[in-house]
Amino acid sequence: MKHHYAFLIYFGAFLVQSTFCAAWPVFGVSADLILVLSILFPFCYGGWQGAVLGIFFGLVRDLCFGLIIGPSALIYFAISALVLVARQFFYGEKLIPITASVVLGTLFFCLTDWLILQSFGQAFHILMVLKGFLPLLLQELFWAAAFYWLIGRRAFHYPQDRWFHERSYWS
Amino acid sequence: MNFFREHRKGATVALVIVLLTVVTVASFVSMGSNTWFGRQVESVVSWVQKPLTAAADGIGDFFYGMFRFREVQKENEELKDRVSSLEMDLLEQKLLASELTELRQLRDLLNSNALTEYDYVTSRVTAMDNARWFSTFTIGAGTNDGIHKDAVVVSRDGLVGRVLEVGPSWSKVIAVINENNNISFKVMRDLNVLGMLSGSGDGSLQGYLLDPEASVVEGDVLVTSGMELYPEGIVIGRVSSVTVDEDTMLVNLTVEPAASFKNIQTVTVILTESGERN
Repeated sequence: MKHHYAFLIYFGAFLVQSTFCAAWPVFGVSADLILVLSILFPFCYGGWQGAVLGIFFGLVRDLCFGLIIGPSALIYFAISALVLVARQFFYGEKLIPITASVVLGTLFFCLTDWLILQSFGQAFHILMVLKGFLPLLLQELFWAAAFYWLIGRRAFHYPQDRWFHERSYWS
Repeated sequence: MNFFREHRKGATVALVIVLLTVVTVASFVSMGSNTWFGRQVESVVSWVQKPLTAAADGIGDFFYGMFRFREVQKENEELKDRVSSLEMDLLEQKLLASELTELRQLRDLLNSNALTEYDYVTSRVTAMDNARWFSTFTIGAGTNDGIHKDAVVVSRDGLVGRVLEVGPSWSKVIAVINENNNISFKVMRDLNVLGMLSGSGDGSLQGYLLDPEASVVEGDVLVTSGMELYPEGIVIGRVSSVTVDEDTMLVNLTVEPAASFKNIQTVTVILTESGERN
């Protein structure tokens, strides 16, 4: 995808996440749209675009709402990199790999974020993290489905739209 | 050097991870201190978020009213009956000597001038991040309105938190449930009972009484004592459990905060630096 379109999508997701989604939480939790994009962008389009934008908007998110600046950016980057690796084996317009990516990516984010904050002395109980995981995951799956149907499907049907050629991660 | 050329991708990934880790550690060391650049980014983001949040609140209120009209109507009727019943109870309570003593203590607390001589700024919440388990949010008022760092933030229900970062027209607020700092409290039922609270990491507050002999029961309302950052008399929450630590003999409390942190729309900021009374 063109870089400026990708940036606008990420920016729009950040604004929607911090305003509309925050105004209508489900069981006290709202969706993390940047996480959804950091998972689906590498999966659909390949390349490092999702990872770079994930770093940038992770830093912005931590600046605006975080106690420490950096953990979100680090985790978004890590998730994007892992999706890029997994993509070599599971790429395709199939429901199971996309769903599994979102589920595992969300779980990875929750646990890693908790671990990083624990390391820096922020005491958040793991049960509180796990209590919010299911409503967060359901919303993430909803937004992932919306992104896939509206935008992501095109990457599979019209590969010439991709900015980066599809190539092996290790080449 | 050839190694890095041959493993360029891996080296880049490793370098990015190291850089982000350095940023994280540096941020932890200067906790809550944004750079000039960070404040400019927050100013821009906050400026864009304000109208979107207003729109989101308006749409939410519309649908809430539309789909829950009957429920709201029923709740209104129930509340009217309850108000009538409470008014009758209030007349009876005034005649009891023990209730009069409590009312006198409450009157002294409210007339202590701890809150009445401060300036206040009321503001809407412009953005929050409910995807994570700590509660920080941004409000649409800042230094232009007289808000300063560590100003106390309250809602109609009670203590919300304090201002962590402040810009010209925005302020970042950290909720009291995420505070590692201690909050000094008094028990409303007996204002001589003092203690300390801090965030427990699971959405509630935990603390202890300074006097192990003092009596606290479940349901007691706790208010700020005015000894530290927070002015006196702000409702913190209600005691949900009381346990005694057999090793230290301290009376440990778990407190449910009075304010709700997941759906705050409007808060009031108490400008403690303009009229310091602590």
